[in-house]
Amino acid sequence: MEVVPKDLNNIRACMMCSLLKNTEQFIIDGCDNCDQWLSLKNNRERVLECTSPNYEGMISLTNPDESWVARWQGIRGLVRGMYAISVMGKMPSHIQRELERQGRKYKSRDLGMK
Amino acid sequence: MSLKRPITDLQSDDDDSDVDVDDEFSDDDDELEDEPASRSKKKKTNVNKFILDEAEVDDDAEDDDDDDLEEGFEQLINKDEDEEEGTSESFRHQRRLDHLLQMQEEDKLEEYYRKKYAEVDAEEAIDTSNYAKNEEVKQQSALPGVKDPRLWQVKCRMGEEKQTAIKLLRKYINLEVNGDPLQIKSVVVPVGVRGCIYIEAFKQSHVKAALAGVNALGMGKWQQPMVPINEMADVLKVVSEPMAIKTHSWVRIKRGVYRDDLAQIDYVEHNQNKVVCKMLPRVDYKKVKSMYKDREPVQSRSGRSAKGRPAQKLFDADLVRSLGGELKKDGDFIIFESGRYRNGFLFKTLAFTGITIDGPKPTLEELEKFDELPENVDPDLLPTDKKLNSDSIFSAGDIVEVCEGELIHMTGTIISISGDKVTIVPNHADLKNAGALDFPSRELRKIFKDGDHVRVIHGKYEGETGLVVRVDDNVAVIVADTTYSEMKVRPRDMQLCTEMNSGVDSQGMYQIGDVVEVDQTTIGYIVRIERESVRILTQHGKTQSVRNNAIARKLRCGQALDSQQNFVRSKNIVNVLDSGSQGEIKHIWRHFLFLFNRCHGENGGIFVVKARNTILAGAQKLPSDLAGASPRLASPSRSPMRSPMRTPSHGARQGGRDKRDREFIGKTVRVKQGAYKGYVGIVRDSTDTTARIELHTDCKVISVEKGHLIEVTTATGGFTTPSTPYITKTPAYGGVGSATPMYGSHSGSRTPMYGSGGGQTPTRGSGDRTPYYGAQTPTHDGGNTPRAGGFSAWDPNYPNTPARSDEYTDFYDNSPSPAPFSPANPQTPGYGEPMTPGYAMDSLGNPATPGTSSDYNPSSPSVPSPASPASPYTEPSPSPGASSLGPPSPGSEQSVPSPYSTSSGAPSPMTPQTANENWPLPGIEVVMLDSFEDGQYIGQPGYIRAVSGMISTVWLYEEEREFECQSYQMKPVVPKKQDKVVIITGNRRGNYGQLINIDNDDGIVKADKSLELRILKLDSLAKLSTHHN
Repeated sequence: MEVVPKDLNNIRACMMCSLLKNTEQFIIDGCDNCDQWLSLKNNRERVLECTSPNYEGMISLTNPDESWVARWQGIRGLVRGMYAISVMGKMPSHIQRELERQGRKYKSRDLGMK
Repeated sequence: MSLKRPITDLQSDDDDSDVDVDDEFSDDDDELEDEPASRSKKKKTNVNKFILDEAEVDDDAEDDDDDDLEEGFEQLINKDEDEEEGTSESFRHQRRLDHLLQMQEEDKLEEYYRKKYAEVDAEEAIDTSNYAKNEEVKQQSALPGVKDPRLWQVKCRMGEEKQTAIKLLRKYINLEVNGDPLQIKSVVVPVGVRGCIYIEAFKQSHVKAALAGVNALGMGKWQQPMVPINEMADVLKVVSEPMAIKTHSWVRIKRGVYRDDLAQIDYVEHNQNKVVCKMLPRVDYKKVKSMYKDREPVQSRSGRSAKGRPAQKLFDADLVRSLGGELKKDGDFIIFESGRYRNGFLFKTLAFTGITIDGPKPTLEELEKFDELPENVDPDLLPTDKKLNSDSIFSAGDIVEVCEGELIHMTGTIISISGDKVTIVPNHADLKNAGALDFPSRELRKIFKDGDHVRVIHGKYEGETGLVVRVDDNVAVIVADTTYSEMKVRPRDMQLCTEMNSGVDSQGMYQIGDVVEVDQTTIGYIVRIERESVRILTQHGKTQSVRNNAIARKLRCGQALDSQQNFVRSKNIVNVLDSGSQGEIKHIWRHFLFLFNRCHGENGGIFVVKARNTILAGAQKLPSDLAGASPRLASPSRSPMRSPMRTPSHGARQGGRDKRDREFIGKTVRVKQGAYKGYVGIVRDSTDTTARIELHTDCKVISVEKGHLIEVTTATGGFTTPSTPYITKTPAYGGVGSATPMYGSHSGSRTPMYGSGGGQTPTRGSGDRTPYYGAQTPTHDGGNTPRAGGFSAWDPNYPNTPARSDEYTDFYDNSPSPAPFSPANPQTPGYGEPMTPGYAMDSLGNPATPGTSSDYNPSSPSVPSPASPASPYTEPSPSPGASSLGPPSPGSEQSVPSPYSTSSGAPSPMTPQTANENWPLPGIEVVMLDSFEDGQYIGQPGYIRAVSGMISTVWLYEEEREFECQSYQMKPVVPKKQDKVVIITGNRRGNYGQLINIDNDDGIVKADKSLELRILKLDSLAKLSTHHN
């Protein structure tokens, strides 16, 4: 239940997996999907860097394994929770490099850019 | 995968339900149907193959196992497999699935795999590196299949979509904990659609269960339309709206002391929803002063209203320092009272919500304060009123190019605009039948080509019209109609138009050419009118921009005295003494003359000189009394000039009159020296030393020293004697009054022939036609009349010139030699004088003037009358051009057959298009005249198939056969815009081209060969028939 945003204010979207949570939730728990790479937990600055307040659309993913929506969005198998359809903004380049070092290539979640 | 399959196969032998589990994991949906069959087949018929297949991809341990097996062990393997399932002791099984089979529980096994492959999925979702290159393919493969859950649209209370989605997630989790989970897979709140959400589920009943008890979905509980499978992806589409706030874009501040101020985005912090704006600070220096100097706290203005705020001004660090303010430095920023300043600008961090991009468009002044030239500002960054956009940029009839999308580079013509939708008709041949196409306005851009006549509809040059002379990628160079100056304009700011700019400003108060007073010390000549300002050339020779409302008044043109105390007035031509340049006086203010010379490149040819530094063209150094007196003695048609300084000398002039050389007055003389060398005129007034000559050419009265004059007598003026052959006389003219000075001098006094004005030009006035017909005969007779020998004499390029007789350039190009005209014409009195009624009388009384020439005069000042064939003398006279052929002289007329008698059928004076009988060229489209076959085919169109000598073979469309006719029996069809044309006269005769625009009598022709643009008289062009080759 911690993964569900408590209210609609101060919602940010993880730029890596598009998970939506309140800013405070990101700081307390990190991103439930990507924290092993992004280590947002207890790092407010990093949360602000790696998450974006500008997102579009919302998906409440209740069954991450069976949902076609999840497959389409590339979020299949992630944790149950709220996701954005499109996340505006770009991961800062130093974090992108960091991810590359960890063997993860960052892919923008900004569908509006296309 | 490879690991999984054999294992599940093993499991599935006894437990079919495991197949399902397997399929849940499997991504290979296609295999689903035939898998059980094929598998059992494999197992029964070809176990070995099965094993080998798997061996190729399985892990080493299994590999080893399989390799160890001999063929004879097949049965054993089967047996082993049977055993494995029941007994966990099997060694091989242990090696393969040690940990799993220790669990022994299918549920756990299932969970293991579920988890394991779910993790793979999850990793795939995040780690996209393997798929980056074929992302499209991957996305395509993610399209929904029949096996996927479907989306159901559910109506939702407006504005509560997101809360509802969160609520449904909570509900799902709650119910799951309670052991009665909902069957929905996800809830989607789409982008850009309000009032509904989508629920993903396999069955509608699952959806109904999910929305039960959710208030916001109350109205959606009755029906939930299922989204068709091919539209499911559209639900998740994000409408592409590029981020409007970009670096360097212009915005306005919404609130605070800077409300409505223009700001430029310096940096955008998307993640923080913040921008750094560059703006003009409003620092209250008074407050600073009182704070630091006086140490008195000022009451801060309540509310910091926009009205009472300090003025916008660049930050003045020195001033603040002198007032005692404290400044800190941070890099190249100066920090003062928490504001960051650089180069005088304030850099302020603001939230997205604090700025607006939809504010009013920045004005010129605002942008100027940012040191930005309006032309440099990227229009895409300017705030735009989206509603106005397409309307104001495009208009019906514009030719546009598609600049994005599938039909990129296609051109078309706009036929209608509605809102953002622009309907165009494609120009491409293959798309012609596709009919009109709609495009959003942003996908179109206007295109122009060289030679287009355009109006500037936006920007600095708004309102100007001009001719496109070059089009680069994003900028077109236009030559303005009014000033002939070059302008660089973006194509989007231009519009095709036919009318010319009047050169009048927006309020209609001033126009180009006015001289206006700006303040007591500054006056200027308006050289360009801009939107909110005019550009003036001041009396000091500088150009400056003046706001319309800063103009105090218009000034009238005055008079001045040149260096020789000659009176100069508007329209006089003066020479500038030190520079040697020359110009026509456009305006005089005090002792400043605003001169016009086309060769002067700047300010539309206008420059300013002091009167003392000029000399009236043609004026000689004169005794001051006479010089002062001379204007008075000018022809009565001149308005008397008065100048305060001249009044006192009035008495002296009286005395001067007594000294007149009355003998000389009234004689026809030619100037043999000086600027007016070669000119012929009548002596109006004379003293012992100087004479006032009224020139035949343009009624101008000039003062010339008597020594520079030579009386024109019959001996030298033999041209008027009909019996005198031309040839013999010509050298004499060349020696005395060579044509060159007349043409070469830019004195502005027109060359005699040209001076007669456009209506009188040989080929254009209807009356001129007659001599042409008459003259044609000698040419036929052998064309050996010396003057007519060259076509040049007939070259209608001459007609080109009269219209631009005051242009200093150009007309030499076409005319091979001006000589044929010049000797003959200056001596033909009266041609240039149609406006001087009294003149003819004078010349009658002048014994020196040949009688014939005075015979011309009474008839010629009025409209030449070729239509009255009764008068043999008048017929040839109207045409100076004809005179060079010889026939005009009355005496020679007898030898020349009358045009009326020779040409069959009376030639209509109205009809011929050109005076050139040699115009026909193959391919020219013609219309038959009534002189052909007694008017039988009058008006019939056709085209010239061949030309042989004077005879043209013409194919008449309607008759569908060929005729032979002469050039005067037909006329070329005047080409229209876009017609293929051929040049029928001049040096370029026979050149082909396309008429791309028509400007009064001029046509703009793009030559086929050189692709050059040329401006030619319309009547030197003929339309090419489309039937011709």
